[in-house]
Amino acid sequence: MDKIDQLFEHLTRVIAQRTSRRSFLARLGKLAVGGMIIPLLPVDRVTASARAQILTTLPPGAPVPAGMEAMAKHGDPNDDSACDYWKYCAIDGYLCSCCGGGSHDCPPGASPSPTSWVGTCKHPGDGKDYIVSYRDCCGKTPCGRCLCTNTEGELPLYRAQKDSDLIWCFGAPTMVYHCSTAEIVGVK
Amino acid sequence: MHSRIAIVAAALLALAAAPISSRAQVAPDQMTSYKLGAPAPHWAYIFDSPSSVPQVSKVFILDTDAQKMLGQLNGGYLASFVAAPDASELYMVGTFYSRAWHGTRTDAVEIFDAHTLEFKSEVKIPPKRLLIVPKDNSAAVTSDGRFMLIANMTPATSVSVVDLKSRKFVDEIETPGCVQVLVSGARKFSSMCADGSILTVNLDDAGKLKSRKQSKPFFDPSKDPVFDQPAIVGTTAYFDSYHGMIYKVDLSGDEAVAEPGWSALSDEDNKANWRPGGWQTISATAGGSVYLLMHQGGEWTHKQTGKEVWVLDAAKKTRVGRITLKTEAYSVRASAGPKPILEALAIIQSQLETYSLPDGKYIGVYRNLGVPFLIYGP
Repeated sequence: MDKIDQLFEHLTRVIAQRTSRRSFLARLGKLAVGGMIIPLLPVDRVTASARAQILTTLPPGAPVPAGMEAMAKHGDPNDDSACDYWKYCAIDGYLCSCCGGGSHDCPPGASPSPTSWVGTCKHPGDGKDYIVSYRDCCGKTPCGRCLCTNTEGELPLYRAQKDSDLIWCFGAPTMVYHCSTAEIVGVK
Repeated sequence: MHSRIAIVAAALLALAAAPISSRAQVAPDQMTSYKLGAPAPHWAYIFDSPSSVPQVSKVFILDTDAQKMLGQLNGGYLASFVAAPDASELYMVGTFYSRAWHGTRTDAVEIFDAHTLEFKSEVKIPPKRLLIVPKDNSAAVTSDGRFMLIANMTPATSVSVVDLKSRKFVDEIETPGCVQVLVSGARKFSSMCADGSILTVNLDDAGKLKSRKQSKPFFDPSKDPVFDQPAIVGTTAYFDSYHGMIYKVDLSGDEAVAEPGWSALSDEDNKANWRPGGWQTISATAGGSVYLLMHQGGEWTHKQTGKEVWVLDAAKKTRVGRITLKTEAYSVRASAGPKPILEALAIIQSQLETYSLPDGKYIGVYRNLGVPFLIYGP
């Protein structure tokens, strides 16, 4: 039960910082089914380091082909179109910053998903750990550019809060996945 | 002018009259659509995960013995493929938006004739089905073929039940904290739960909830999670964990019962960082042989492609063989029937390799299969 409480605490904290109390309660109501609170969204998705992998043709969930890692843009923590960008330590999907959006903004016409998973990333400048909310942009077909895949800390579907293979567009106008962003929520 | 027409006409007549060869004239073609015969044990249903336009899913049907493409099935957005146990029908459970990528969402079970591959009918279901990079056990049919079970996630978890006989949606059964459908009988399915336990649900003959019971946890998901696509043979499920533990679970009763787990890895294997990994990482045959897709990678490499398939004897709890794959695979499957073969799907190379069992001798390769994620059999 402790784990559920912790997850719920995260959900409360992160959503409360972004939304009004009224909309938070409305959303919470949607997640409560049969008296059970679904401990799904969003949660701590801490990863120690991002293994930068960038591909352009494979879907999320696909492995990185041998020899293709050389395609990744390594080493620049300030380049938000690279998997190594410091906020992306737990990102999994096509980078919105390669698709007409930004590191925390959707491309034109795509809708930010109100639901997300959360990671903790260390800022290379100030050394502080920041809570980062990974929010998908939804409503257009997959962008297909700059796929970053990080499996560190990823769990199977029965621990859905840590399963990056899911379409995280719950609450968006459509469940059609377009790309992924990283939004700073606060300092841990 | 008239004389020119006469010359052309004469020439055409001469051509028509002149024999092309001494043989008889070639008969006109008659265009038809082929039909499929009864599926053979070495047929493979291969799910191509369309990365750029997932609104239309695709399944290739392949005869691995003849190395021949037999046909193709289509479905909706991130669809789930299921075959009827009696091989009479094939199903694609899909999601459709009225304007392809936006508009009104409709979820439906689409029913196809297994011989003509023609669309027969559909049953609409609540628009709640699990949307994920295609995984096994997102939908399944009961062992008698009567009910289709569809995993839902909104993100609240439940299972939709469709009566395939009356072609009607029956009910939605809540499976709090548990997901997927592992079928183990005519009126029974199980779901995997967040605490490492299994929820077993019994249905009545109308497809409504009869009973629901959760087992004790048999593994710790926070320490060594099991993969969520176990091998199921009859009423037995074999689970493999990130660290190479094997759990045999009996799904026949009202409550799932797990035997104590055992490691497929020796100390040397552990030191050499051998781990199970890929997408479909485990398969099993009725005789108790378990096939595990393995790579060297260490922690959190559970999606790395495998270069070997380890053959395990589930009864003796030991490894009895190692098969080195020509091409690293993402999904593996041991076919059913009296002479099983090993099928290994290479997602990057877009191909299927086959190996004889139990000796692991390379048989052949079939190429150009899109982005093949999943492999099923009849």
